[in-house]
Amino acid sequence: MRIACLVLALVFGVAESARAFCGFYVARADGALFNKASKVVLARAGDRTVITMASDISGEPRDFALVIPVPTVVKREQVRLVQSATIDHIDAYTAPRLVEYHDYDPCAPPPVPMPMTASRAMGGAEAALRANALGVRIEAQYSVGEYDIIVLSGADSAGLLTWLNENGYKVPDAAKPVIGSYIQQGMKFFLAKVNLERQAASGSHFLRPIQVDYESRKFMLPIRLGTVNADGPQELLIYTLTEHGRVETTNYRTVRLPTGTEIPLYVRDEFASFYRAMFDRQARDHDDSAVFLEYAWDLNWCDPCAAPPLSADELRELGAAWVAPAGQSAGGGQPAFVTRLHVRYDRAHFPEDLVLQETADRENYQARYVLRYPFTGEASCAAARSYQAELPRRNADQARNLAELTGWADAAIRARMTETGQPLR
Amino acid sequence: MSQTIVSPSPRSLARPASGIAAPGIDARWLQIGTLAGLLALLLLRGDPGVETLQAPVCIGAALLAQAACCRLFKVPFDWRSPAISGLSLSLLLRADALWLWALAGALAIGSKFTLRVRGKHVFNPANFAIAALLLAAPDAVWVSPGQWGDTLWLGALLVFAAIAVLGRAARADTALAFVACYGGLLLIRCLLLGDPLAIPAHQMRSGALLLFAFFMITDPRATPDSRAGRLVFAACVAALAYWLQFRWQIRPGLFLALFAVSPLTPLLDRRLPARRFVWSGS
Repeated sequence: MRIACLVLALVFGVAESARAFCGFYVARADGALFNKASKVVLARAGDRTVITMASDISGEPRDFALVIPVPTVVKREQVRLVQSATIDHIDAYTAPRLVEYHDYDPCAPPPVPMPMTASRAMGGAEAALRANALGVRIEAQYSVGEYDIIVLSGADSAGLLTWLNENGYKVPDAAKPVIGSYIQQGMKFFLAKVNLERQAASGSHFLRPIQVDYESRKFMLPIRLGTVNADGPQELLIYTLTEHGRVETTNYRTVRLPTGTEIPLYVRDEFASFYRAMFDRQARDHDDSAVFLEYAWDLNWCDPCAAPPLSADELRELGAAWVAPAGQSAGGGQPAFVTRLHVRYDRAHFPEDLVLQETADRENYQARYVLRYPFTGEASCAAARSYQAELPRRNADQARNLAELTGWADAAIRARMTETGQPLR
Repeated sequence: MSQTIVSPSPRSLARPASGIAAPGIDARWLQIGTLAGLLALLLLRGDPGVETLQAPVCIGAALLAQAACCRLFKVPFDWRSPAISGLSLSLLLRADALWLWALAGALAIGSKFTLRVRGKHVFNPANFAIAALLLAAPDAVWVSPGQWGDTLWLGALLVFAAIAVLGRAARADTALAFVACYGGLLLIRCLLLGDPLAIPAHQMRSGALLLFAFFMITDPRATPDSRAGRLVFAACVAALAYWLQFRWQIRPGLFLALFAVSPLTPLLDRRLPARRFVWSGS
């Protein structure tokens, strides 16, 4: 059993088109966009952190084991299970997206624009003896739903490593110094394994995300164990819910991805590969050592929303306890701020755990790419002629934008555009 | 960031020769050039929380406050000092409302004219504004220690520029002492935890740390007059910053540490007296 560090495929967007405030949102990506993408939701208010970790649903449940360092001993009442659908929802709601616009008839008077909020819209005893012998202390042991949970502290990394391996958590030797460092920092280890009997009895095929809440000044995300035995960089999506504003990393640079760029229409059918290429390029351009902001949104500001917004109950389920339960709040917005960070990390470029802070920045931001469809109806006025004459230049701009964002060959882009009815001359 | 005051009191005006004048051209020109270059870089990158209007509002408010204070205290106006404070704030502070930027500029200059002991300001003006706002309005302002990343070239550029500035201002000792003490504490932490050296190396490459070390803690007008005093001062800031950041998880620990240690300067000057620094152009 290997450490399944929250491996979950990133499902990109929602499989529906929603009527948007301005343009249509088209969520086109099918299946996994990034392999090995883990998803973590962090809700933070004061010194209270609620962390929700999506478990690996792609493998066999018996292969699932989770080992995460936590700042305090976590008791039974601090652990809950969350519906996978809620994680899927926050993922869909905050996902980078394509929007499409349709040009109006150049001969008809332009429609009166709606008040412009486009940039803001969207929306046992023997075991204990053995543990003692190894210098490992079992701080707590209990079951929650389909999981068996143990909270450990240790005096010695070698003893703890031995205990983990004797108990079915296959942690490589290379993890020893990292475990030692966490022990020295006073961290505990939260372990979860699937109890196959209870899972079978529940009749569920899916593992529900595990949620832990704790009080600690530390607002951070431990990533170092994840780099020990990884073959290649890991993808991590962090969704944070806070009271005041955007969350950023303080020991790595947080960077906004390019957004609002017009790109060729054919990208509609290959949005996933477009986004991967763009992200690869951005990561490289920032020396593979930046954290990327994909979404930052004030949930009080939903007028209307791009995807169905997170309900008060969903926010509370994800740990935003300060949000009033459904039916007790006035208006449609929620007093919370959501941030989505995307990290591609490896040991070379991310030697330290992610240190986080909440800022007072409430500016809305989303990674959003624009498709603009030309008017194809009958039009013969003078304005139509200049409109038609302008289209190749616009198409050329889109080709250039796509080449700059992805690094794809300009000639290949132009050929695809011509094939798909976007002439460049 | 290094900050100066233009002859704030008739008394100090009457005795400029009592200070040590830095040789060569006034280091503030180099400082303004370096800070302006970094600000241009920051604006070009479009980092989250950075907007075009913030810097002009902050620098404008600092200049206005300087003009008003100069009139009030009847001293000649010099735009360089408030420009440096405004630029420093624009680089290091973050706030979501423009009026806070104006307030920051005004607070910085106001502190320089009013919080004084024996004709010397107690706090680095920009640091005072950052710390005062962080303490008074923690939900409205913040600093982004990660925003400069750890790319080596940027660190090298900063150090290079900073040495150029400080070589002329003759205050490299404070920066070096701070870097040595803070780096030493990070190294001890790393060794105690059994961490790889890559961790303290990454921490020391922080652009924000270098900016702080070479431009803010080195203020020749708000650090002790004697070298021994400056070394003690730098060591205290490093130790407190480390404690605030790692024990108390306070992200802007650097700025709050300098703020808390600054009142020691008059005491250190009394115990370890030396001739006072004045800018050659003053």
